[in-house]
Amino acid sequence: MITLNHYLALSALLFCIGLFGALAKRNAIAILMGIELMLNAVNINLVAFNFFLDPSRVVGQVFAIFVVVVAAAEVAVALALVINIYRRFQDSSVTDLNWMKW
Amino acid sequence: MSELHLTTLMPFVYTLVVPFFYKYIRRIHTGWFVLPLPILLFVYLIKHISLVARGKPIIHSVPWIPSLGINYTINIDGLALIFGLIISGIGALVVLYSIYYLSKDREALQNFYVYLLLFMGAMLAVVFSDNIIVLYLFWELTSISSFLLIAYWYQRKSSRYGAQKALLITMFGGFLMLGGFLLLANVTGTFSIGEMILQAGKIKEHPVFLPAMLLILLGAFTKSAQFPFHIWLPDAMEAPTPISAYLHSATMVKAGIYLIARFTPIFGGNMAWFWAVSGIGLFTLFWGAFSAIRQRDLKAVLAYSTVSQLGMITCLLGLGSVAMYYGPGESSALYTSAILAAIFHLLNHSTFKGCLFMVVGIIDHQTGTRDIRRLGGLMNLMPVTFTLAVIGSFSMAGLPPFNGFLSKEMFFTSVLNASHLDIFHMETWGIMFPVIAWTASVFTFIYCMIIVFKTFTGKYHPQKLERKINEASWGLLLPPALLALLVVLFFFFPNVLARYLLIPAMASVLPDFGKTGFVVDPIEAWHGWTPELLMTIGIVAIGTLMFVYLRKWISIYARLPVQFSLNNMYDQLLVKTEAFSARLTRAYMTGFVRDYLLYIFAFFVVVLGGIMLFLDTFAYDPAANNPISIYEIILALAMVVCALMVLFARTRLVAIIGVGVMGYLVAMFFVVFRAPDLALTQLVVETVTTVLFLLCFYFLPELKEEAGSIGLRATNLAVAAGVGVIVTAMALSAQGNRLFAPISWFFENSYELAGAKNIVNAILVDFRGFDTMFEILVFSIAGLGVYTLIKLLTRRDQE
Amino acid sequence: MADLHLLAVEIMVAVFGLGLLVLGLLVPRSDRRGIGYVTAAGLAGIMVITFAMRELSGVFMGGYIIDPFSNYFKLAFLVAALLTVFCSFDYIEKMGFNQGEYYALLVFATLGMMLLASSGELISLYLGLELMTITFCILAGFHLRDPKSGEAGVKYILLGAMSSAILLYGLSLVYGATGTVVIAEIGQVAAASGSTPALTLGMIFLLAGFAFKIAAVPFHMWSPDVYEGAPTPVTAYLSVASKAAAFAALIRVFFGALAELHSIWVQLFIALAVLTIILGNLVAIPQSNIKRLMAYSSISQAGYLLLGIVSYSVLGIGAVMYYCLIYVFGNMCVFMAVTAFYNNAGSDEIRDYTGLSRRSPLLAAAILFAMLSLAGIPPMAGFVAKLYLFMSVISQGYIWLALIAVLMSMVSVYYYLMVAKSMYLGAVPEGSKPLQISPGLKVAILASLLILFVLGIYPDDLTNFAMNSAVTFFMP
Repeated sequence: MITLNHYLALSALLFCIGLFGALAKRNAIAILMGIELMLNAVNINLVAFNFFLDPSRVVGQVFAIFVVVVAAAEVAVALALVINIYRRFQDSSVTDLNWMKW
Repeated sequence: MSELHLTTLMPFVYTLVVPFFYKYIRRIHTGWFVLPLPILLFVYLIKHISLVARGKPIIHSVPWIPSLGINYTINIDGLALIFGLIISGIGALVVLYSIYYLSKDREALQNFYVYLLLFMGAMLAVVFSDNIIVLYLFWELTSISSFLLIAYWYQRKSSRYGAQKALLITMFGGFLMLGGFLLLANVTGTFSIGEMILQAGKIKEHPVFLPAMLLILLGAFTKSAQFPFHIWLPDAMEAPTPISAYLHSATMVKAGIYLIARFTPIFGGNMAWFWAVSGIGLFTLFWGAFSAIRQRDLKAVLAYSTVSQLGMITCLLGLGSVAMYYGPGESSALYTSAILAAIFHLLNHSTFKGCLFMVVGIIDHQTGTRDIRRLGGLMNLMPVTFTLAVIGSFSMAGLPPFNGFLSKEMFFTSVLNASHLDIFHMETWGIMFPVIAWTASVFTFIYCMIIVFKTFTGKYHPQKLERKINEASWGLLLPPALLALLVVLFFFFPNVLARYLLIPAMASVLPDFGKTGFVVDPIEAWHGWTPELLMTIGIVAIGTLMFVYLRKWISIYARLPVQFSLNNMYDQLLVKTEAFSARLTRAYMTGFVRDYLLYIFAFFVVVLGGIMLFLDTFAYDPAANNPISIYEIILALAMVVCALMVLFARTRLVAIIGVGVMGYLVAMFFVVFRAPDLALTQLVVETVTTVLFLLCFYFLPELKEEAGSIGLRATNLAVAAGVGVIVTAMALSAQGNRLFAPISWFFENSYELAGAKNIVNAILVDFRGFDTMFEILVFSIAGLGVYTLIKLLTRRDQE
Repeated sequence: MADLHLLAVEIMVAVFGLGLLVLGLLVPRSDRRGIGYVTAAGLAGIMVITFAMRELSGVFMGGYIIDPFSNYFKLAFLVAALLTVFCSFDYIEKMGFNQGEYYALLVFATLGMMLLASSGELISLYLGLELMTITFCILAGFHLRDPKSGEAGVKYILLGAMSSAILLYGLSLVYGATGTVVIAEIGQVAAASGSTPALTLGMIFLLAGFAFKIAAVPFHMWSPDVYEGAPTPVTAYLSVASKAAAFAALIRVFFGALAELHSIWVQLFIALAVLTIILGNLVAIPQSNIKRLMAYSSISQAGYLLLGIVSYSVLGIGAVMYYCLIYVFGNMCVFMAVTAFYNNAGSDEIRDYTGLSRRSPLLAAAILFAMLSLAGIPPMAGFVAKLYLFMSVISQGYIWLALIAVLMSMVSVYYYLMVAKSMYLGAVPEGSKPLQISPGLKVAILASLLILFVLGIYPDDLTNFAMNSAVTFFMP
């Protein structure tokens, strides 16, 4: 049986990989993917805590559900914003997104 | 609200009325409507003289912010009254003067008088307030109204420059002063100056004594134009001359002096206070007088002379504070007289300097210039003005039979007394005082002579002037003439003045002494052949000699380095600050999200690591680790691989697949943790998200190769790894310390109440119904947002 | 569910927001301006009701706290929202926004803030935060013709999501360290077990997350770009209300759940406050765009607000509450004037403001006095607010901190003065017309100015209410 420790370490590792992704990428969508990874790390944390500490109460699981759903909403809005900008950039026939800083 | 509050706040009420007078009654100069107010205030204050002189200050209090214990308390004691009389008295004369000085057809008079009244009200409130917060409030208001008045002719660049400089420097001091006030309030628990004075002993013991003192002094020095903050005053001369006469010589610049006098009972008798006040004052006295001589503009000469005279008063207050060291009695009588001299000179300065400013205003008004090089020989053309100039200048130079002579003699007495002191290291440095004071007085004498003789005697140059010269109208001459009359009267009847005004004011500066009565010698013009008189004679002799040979030595001023001048430093400070902050902004506000994130997380690593080291919480207990089953290792490894795949994917499809697989793996973990509901949710949501990403990429171009340099990548990696190492170490030590308390006692019977088998669902619906509702709302809003953004886009495409 | 009356305000706001959406669909496009008026009336109504219910207190379902503290903040949000609506009338008509959605989103953002101010446990706190953030992202990117607006939206959501992730990681650790998500229970468990590494780590992550939302240095970099790009009324709302909401939640979490660790987090907040006050003010100096200038000024204002947190006292919390409201009026006043100017002149550059005092005395006076209030110059209300903050830190012995804050106020005077100089002492540009300002906006500007004056002279009722609300955080 593996312990909470391992999960926490795994979660921390994922969090940092996601963080690196967000730091290193120039593309908005790639940054978003990095953030997705970080949120997955949070969920692992929550559920692991829930499982090891207090399995009879499912507070951690409930929390994780909220996080999953809200994160999806966030991704949807972010993608809509990106598409929006991109479409406009197509109109103005600029070949690169470089004029936009992010 | 007492009658007293209403009276002192009258100028503010009046500001509301003035614009109407200006708008509807244009035929009559708006000044005539303003004039009654300062006169009434003056009369009202005169009425209180006898009461205050009997040692009965008038105190009225109105609560303002009771929760902090801040009341608007008016306290009219001797010191406040003398200032009040100067403010209202000179105010009345200045208003009268301005009626003839400012044309009612060309000038924006409503602005002028509104600002002037604002200033008058604020200044009165400053000197009458017993509460430091109220005092600060009106203190800043005087700075602001001074700013507005200096910038009255805002079309001129120099006016704008001068106004800004004055505001920045005085407000800088004001802020510091507020800091000092708050420190004092924190020590004493009160905002009332009167109550603070009662706790003076406690303040002296307290460690904040010195910082509070220095901060308050900085406030006073900036306002009273003491070295090195005096640089704003000459530039403030861009204001109309009535304003220069009123704010920048008679009243506002004396607010700092007022503050020093007011706080002497709290800080006095201390070496730091003595040196800061008398030392700075003495140097300012010298520097102002020295700098005045090189000026070409008559108003600039007067500005530097004001700086110098203010330095003298400050110096006297510092010398007088020694009396606090000795305590009441015979031994301190030598020093209490310095306080008397300070107050006397304060009054005298207001009279002769006000007179001189108005004279210069007349010259400017009649000839169109204030440049000494273009003036000369006006004596015959403007005899009355000439007489007034002589009275004012000779009084300033310390010659009899004018009031300046008396206070100057008293000043010399005080510096001579000070040189005999054997405390505060004065035994070594004391001799400096008479030497510097005497030297400065020589320079004072010279610039006084410049004002009179360069302007009124010598050759008349009509070709250098634009208009024909004649004597000014009586309206311009009357106010300075009244002041000149006072200059003479004070010389002949100084002891009447002392009895009703000066000694009550002294009693406010040295409250402990007032009870036992002062040992005050009557002020006399003739004491016999005293050292003071010899000093004066020396000044006249040397000064005359130097004035005659001015041409020979004036070139030394040109040799002073420009780049080290204080004005230059001030300008450079502003320029450098702007440049620095522009550079700073450019350096880190790149506009790129990734740069921002890098800075943020670098900071984060430092904080985290710092705290961990500081708290020494790293602890790892290997015994807590058990053998790990193989499928969990595989799962974990797969996750890490997926995560890395997302990072280093060359094509977008691989990246999306990475994110998707990652999500599913997390769902599998949820299964391991026996959270099937969660796993299902995760599966569904992950699928939707992946589809969204795919859809999105349909619209967007290929991912490009990241063109970041190795160095940048390394930094990114270092930051991320730093966060990783610290977080992991932390998480492990968390477990090692066994911190998780058993906490299932919180809601034991939740499930029975819910009555459902699927716990998560039950919680979502029954116990978290509220949160669930909001979650749905978040989701709907996201939907709404996406819909709006996309719809707008398509509509725009159609158009 | 007998306690539903506790939720009256939130329910009203939610229903009102949905109603606006429906209204937006029903009303023909030509009559859309009416939606703005309906929004204003509705928000004003809700504000009155909230004010009447300001003393209401209770706990809903164990985790949702209604108390004078939260009611106070809700009122502040509603005031800000109302002023934003006044600000928006002309602006969005010019921009061709979808009015129904726009106003509905504004109302929902308000709801998110209310949730944030009232949340007594971490899940609803997170939801409130996300509700607010997502709504603002959409609003920031609402101005479709302006590429900067889109950029602002994307930047805000990327950095917002990032900060949410950090915050969440912290929340998960706090949950792990204490086994509960209810703030009061976290506080009890932490008090029993003392400070633990996991809790400390969680606290630091939470601090970073909140620092992001209040735009404290060095977590502030999103704000100038977002403020500049977003539609001006949205910027106005974002700069005041989201900051106030984040502060409300921050106080709840740090004073409620993490009080045990205050010796650590006070130090961290001191570092943040010093950095924020110094950098925010210094960097504002060279700004040439008024929205960017206000962004940096808002950053420094967050630093001043942090002083109240640092003091860890009733006086400190009360000062933060009072300051928040004054800040709402001051900043909204400036932004209303900026919007009105933009509607006429189409520019946000400070150099275009020259001679404004003669083109529109009202706008110039509004900007001047509101800035004086922001700089803390008496007799404006901002002075009293700053006085409370300074007193609170000095009474805890952080004298040097107060001095830095006071000195940096001086710098803020400098850059506000640059704007004032341009407006009052600059020349009127050639061929400029007098400005047209709608009566509604005029009234709103005048009312805010009046309040800034009145609260500067009679602050007592409001500060007493704030102090009394703050006491709850220090009761056992």
